[in-house]
Amino acid sequence: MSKPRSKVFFVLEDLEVEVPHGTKLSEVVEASGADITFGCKSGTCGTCRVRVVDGNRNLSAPTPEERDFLSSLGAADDERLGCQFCVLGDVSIDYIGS
Amino acid sequence: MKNLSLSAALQERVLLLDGAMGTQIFANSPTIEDYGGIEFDGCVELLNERRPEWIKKIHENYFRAGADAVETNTFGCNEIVLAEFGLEHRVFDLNVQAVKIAREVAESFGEKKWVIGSVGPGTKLLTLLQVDYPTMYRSYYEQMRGLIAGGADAVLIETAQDLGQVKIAARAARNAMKAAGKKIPVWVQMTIETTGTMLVGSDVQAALASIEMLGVDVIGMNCATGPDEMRPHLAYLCESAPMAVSCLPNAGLPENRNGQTYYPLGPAQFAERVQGISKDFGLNILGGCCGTTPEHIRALADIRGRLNPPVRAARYERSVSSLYNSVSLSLEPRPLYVGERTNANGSKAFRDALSRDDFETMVEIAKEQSKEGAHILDVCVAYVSRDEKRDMCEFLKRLVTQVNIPLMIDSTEVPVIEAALQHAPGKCIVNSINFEDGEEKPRKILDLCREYGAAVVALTIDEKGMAKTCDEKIQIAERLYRLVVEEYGFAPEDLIIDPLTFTLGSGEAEWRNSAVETLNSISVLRERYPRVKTILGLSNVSFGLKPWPRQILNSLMLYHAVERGLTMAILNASKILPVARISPEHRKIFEALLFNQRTEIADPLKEILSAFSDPNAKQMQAVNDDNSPVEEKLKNDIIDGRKNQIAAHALEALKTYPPLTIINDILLDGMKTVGERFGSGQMQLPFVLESAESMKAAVKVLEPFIEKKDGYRKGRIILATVKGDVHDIGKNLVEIILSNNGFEVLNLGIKQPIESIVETYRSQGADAIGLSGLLVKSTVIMKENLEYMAAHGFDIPVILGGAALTRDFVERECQAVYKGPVFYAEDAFSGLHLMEKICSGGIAELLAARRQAAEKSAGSAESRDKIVVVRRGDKKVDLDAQGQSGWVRRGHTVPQPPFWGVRKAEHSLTEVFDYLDDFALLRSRWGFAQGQLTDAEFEKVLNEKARPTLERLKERVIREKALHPAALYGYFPACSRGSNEIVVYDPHSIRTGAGVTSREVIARFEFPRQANGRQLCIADFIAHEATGIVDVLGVQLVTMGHVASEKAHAAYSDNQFSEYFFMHGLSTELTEAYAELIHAQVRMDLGIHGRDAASRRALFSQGYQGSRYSFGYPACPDMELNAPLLKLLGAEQIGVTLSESFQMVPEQTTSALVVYHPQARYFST
Repeated sequence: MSKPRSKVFFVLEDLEVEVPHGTKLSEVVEASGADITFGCKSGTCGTCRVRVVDGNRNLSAPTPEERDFLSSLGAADDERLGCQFCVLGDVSIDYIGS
Repeated sequence: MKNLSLSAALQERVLLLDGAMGTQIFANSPTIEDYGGIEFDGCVELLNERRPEWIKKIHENYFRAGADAVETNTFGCNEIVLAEFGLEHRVFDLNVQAVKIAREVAESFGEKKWVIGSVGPGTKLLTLLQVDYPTMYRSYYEQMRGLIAGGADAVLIETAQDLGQVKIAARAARNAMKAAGKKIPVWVQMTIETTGTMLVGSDVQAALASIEMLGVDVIGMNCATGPDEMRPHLAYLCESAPMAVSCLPNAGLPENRNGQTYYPLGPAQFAERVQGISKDFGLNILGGCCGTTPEHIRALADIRGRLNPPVRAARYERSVSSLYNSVSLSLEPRPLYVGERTNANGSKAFRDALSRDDFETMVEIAKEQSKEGAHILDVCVAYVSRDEKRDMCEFLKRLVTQVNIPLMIDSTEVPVIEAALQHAPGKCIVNSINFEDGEEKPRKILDLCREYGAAVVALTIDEKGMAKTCDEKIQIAERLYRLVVEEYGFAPEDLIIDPLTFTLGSGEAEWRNSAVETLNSISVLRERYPRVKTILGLSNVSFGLKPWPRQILNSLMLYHAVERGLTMAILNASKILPVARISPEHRKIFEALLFNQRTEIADPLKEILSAFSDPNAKQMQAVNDDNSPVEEKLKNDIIDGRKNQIAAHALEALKTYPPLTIINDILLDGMKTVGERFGSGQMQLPFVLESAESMKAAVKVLEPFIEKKDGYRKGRIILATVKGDVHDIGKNLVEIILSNNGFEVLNLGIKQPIESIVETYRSQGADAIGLSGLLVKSTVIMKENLEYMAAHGFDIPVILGGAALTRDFVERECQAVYKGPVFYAEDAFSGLHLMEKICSGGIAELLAARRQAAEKSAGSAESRDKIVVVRRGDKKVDLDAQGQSGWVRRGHTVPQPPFWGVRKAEHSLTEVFDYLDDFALLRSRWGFAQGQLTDAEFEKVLNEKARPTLERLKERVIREKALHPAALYGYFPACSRGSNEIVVYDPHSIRTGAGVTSREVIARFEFPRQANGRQLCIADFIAHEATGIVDVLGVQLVTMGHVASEKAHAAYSDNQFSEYFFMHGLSTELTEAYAELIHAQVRMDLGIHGRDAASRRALFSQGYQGSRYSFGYPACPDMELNAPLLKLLGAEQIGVTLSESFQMVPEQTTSALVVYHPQARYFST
């Protein structure tokens, strides 16, 4: 029984990756070599900040750390921390970096 | 424009003041003849009379340079200074004369120009008791009279070093204006030294709280430092001060060059930096101080047009202040604790000390309260047959420089209050006013509060007496509000209403409902006057009861009052119990008393009196676990991390159980719960460490009773950080968790070669070996260690842990080279779990579970394999002719650094704290993650544990100088070479101009390049040598010194596990903070700071132009390159060296290359 699959599109480098539903973005990046950098991986450094160009609804909800980090920065609604979410449907992602 | 008043002009535009006066005067090389005699040598104020043409010329030059206003030559023109020349009788007329000179020049210009009366600090410090209040007041009053009579447009109390002096000078100015029937603005400029405080120690927050109350029109800074050093303080003022802000820096930090004072900033640099501050925060008045010239003012005039008048939404959180610090009146969590023991009527010890004139002991009592957590100190020295005014003065003289919390002056005598306000440099609270004898007396006291700048406590008492019911209390509160806020114009926050507390301990029917009435009135007051503060003299409620029931009743009264909105309480902070620690039974009867729930058959007061009648009743009997069995108490001591009482409980348990049973069945059961709560995200690491401290304390008490010493050990592990790695926090956390969960730990320390680890195993034996390490390189070492052990025939279980490891690497690659089992421990508790299994014959079970998991993931091998790259698009970046990323734009103007080579920086810990990323510290380094807690629960953890810990440690670190920040930074000419290399040139070898004669390469750095994506390499951000352009590379190095590790380890050795963990995390994060600070300096030097983010939070997320790359991170993983970098920096000057594995020592050190290229960000290779 295979899980439903989602498409992740990395805008910066025009890279399209297909992944099982529920895969962490960090795993997608590691497996595909996408050009996104991770720092602390605990939601406190912001190195992996991305902009969700499309499909914001298709991501797992922010963890409290991610929510607090982004709100302390006054980040826009379409910004997320790449180390903190899973892909639950098709998304397009652009790298902001910190 | 022409007739615009000074105040109106300030609304419309940025105003320009003049620059230095003194240096301009001395440029005339005044002789004895110029001063008019040897006895007047150096009295520049006299030159107003003797050489007016000099002064005129100076003013004229500044006006011509573009100044809107000049300062009179009256800096030292007061009685105290002039008396040194025997000229004290000339104060008035010299001031008049000086204003007239400036006025004449001002009026010779066609447009409107203003004259500001300069008022310097004089030569004596009031707060350090070098001069008395009346003398200094008289000295300034006369000067103010002269300046006003001469026609100054404003007086400027400048170069202020002592808040006490500012308060006197401002008061003198107001009274002189009143006498002259003329009102002009009063401006205040303080001088903040490189230490981050004014000369006598006040920080900028304390200064604002104190000065704001003086009704001044401008607050600002001048002298001592240059614009860069003033920047953080001005940022605070601009964000907080409800009045205009001025900035008159020196032309940089003065340097000593060949015995001459030299100011490094030329006019353009000076103006650029002032402009930077102005643009970022919004200054109203610009000018210069020492080392500045008309040219500097001209440079400011040139940029002034680009600066619009600042529109600031300054948010001032009203505060009170001591000489040193401020405390917000709206501090959360409530309430503000007002210490009650410096009160002759409340504390016997204090009264006894007072009666023998022992002021030093009185000061000690004050300091104790500050230590115990009081935010404010109530000071009352009224005692029959003593001279209260004298006692107050004598006490305050000693007190104000020795405590750092603000004062509440507690007296009913007007002259005593006035004397106290004269002796307290900060903003005080006066306690108190009421309407008992009508309005005459409260008005007198309010006049004093206004004159000296104080908040006021107001009691709900009127001509009819003390208000007992809620309605009466509210009626009087309304009358107080009308008088204090509406008529006197106090800010509502500066009115603190005390709705009175009466005792419930007497049992008199009249007072039985009094707590209910008081509590209700607090709710109503909060509703009706949300900005007005409330206060209770808490301990009155329990008057007449024994000490222990008093403590319970006070604590419950406080709890309910705070629930209803109480903002302050006068109490003994050390005697307040958390409500959770009051047993439910006690809480029930005490609340019945509090809420007057008396019935025919049950009288709560009687119940309390009988429950506490036993003279032997110990205090502890009333805490939460009072009636619970000792097993429960012990377990809860562990879970709650209460190490103070656990020893007593352990001894109590010994009456019933043998020591080993206590440890194994009770204490370890508690630790098990701790582990489970940590694992499920309900408990954070710092609390776990406190539990471990309790465990340690209990075992220490029990150990002497255990016959066979290690009979209770579940097993033994050898722990070591591997060769070449200096990181020991992770390993030490494992030791804490294991050793306090019944395991014996042989902790070998850091940088351990496998030979010595094996040797320990041979000689002492163990059930497992644990290897730890933070670095990527350490993972390789661990594998080599396993190979070594395999080659020598070992098969003892090995547990690996460390940040760079992955489960996959351990269970596949490491296991493959070793015969015995190799396990991965992702944290200390998984290490504990592994040890439990290993030491109870569960190895096979662990391996079976591992196999199963592997099969399962192989079965659904989908997870990894099924991440499929569908398309790698055409956007793939091409490499240019040099082999560098085509994504990187070239041809930026190369900034000119202010110097070449390396310089040493000097910063105080306070400045470093200013750059602390507290989010990363609390959440990541200290492990306060929300986990499974609700938002409210987590907020509570942050407010009650995390943030207070930070405050406490900050205070401790600064006070004890527990860290020694040191830094080097600088600039080198550099180019990229080939595709991936940066070469650094000796700055002296570069010959600018067409024919580059020689470039001597002194360092080379090679970096990896991304395989995908933008194909970046750090070298891409530095101009290529083929372009002929020589670029600039920044370098920096910061350290917290060896003392950082020493302090942390002292706590570790002392079994203060949580303190160890906090200190380690804080010092590590402060190292980052210092790197951030130096990086900000570098951007400023390179002139790219214009793109710095306004908020600190954003700045910490690379909210700036360029990037700072440290070796060991993804874009530049090669730690060995620290060797050439440290050589370039001359790292040994600040005690930084490199270990054989290229790690910097001390541990709290970080180095970086700084690149200014706008596209340079972090990236992975």
